[in-house]
Amino acid sequence: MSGIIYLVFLFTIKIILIKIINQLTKKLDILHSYSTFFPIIFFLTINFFYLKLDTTLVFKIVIIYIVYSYIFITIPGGFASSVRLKILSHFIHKNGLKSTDLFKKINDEVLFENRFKRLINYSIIRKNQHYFIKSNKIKFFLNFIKLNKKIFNIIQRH
Amino acid sequence: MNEILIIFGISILYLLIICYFFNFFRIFKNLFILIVSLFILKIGIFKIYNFDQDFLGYFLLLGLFISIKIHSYLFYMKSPTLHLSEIIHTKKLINKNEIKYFFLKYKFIQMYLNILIKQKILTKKKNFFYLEKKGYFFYKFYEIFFKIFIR
Repeated sequence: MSGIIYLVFLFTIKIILIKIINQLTKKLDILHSYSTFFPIIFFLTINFFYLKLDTTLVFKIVIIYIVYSYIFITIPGGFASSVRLKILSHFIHKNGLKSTDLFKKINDEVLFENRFKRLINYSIIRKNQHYFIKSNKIKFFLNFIKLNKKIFNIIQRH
Repeated sequence: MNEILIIFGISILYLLIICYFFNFFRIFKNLFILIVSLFILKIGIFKIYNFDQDFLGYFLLLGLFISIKIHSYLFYMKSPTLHLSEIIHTKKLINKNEIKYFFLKYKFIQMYLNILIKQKILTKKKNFFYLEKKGYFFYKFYEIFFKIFIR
């Protein structure tokens, strides 16, 4: 039972942090990373000085918190960035939408401009010769996904 | 600690199974049966080794299953932001129009519309798209969660 209480405590801090950080910046990566790691550091510090819980229990709590934080990025967090939800937002309170009207509001060009602007704000800069990815986080993530797909293809082949 | 290792072992087994039979486990019913079977496996292994069947263990296992499933979307779905990042990272293009040219080769909006129609969230009749009740609740679910937990 105590493990659940600590998890509720961690997620409460997470939600409070998210609401505060969301007022200061709209950068989702900062929002999710700070709101995930600060509560963990806080919990481990309190545990070290006061709670002194069993190591296995602490490990379980931290792992569960990280796993559900990852799910949290997709479920409530996905609303801000999901293309599908953006498409659906044009249908709310409307009795059908003509395809030409829909494609005027949302199309691949609009999507490109939106994502390009986002990358300009977060991670790419223009140098003299060409555009390049400035953020090491995105570079790491691109390589990580490439590796995942390679492993997936190996499993599928066998 | 052994309980956690067993839970991770079952998660890896789950990952291997859903990768190997990828299209079969894209159907929710099949995935649900797999998850229930793996929970039963976990109960069995814990009984054999006389480990405590605590709620945290089940909660962790469920979380790992959900996260792995979410992560598996990366294997076949392309995200517009990552696709754009990949173009910029690999092609070293000079100007925005060139980047746009490569980006527009992939028809994202049509892909997402096809997914929404397949999932019966939207329907298409002649030249009109209609939002199904399922689609309305799908959208509202995410909107409410976003407003409660983030905004």
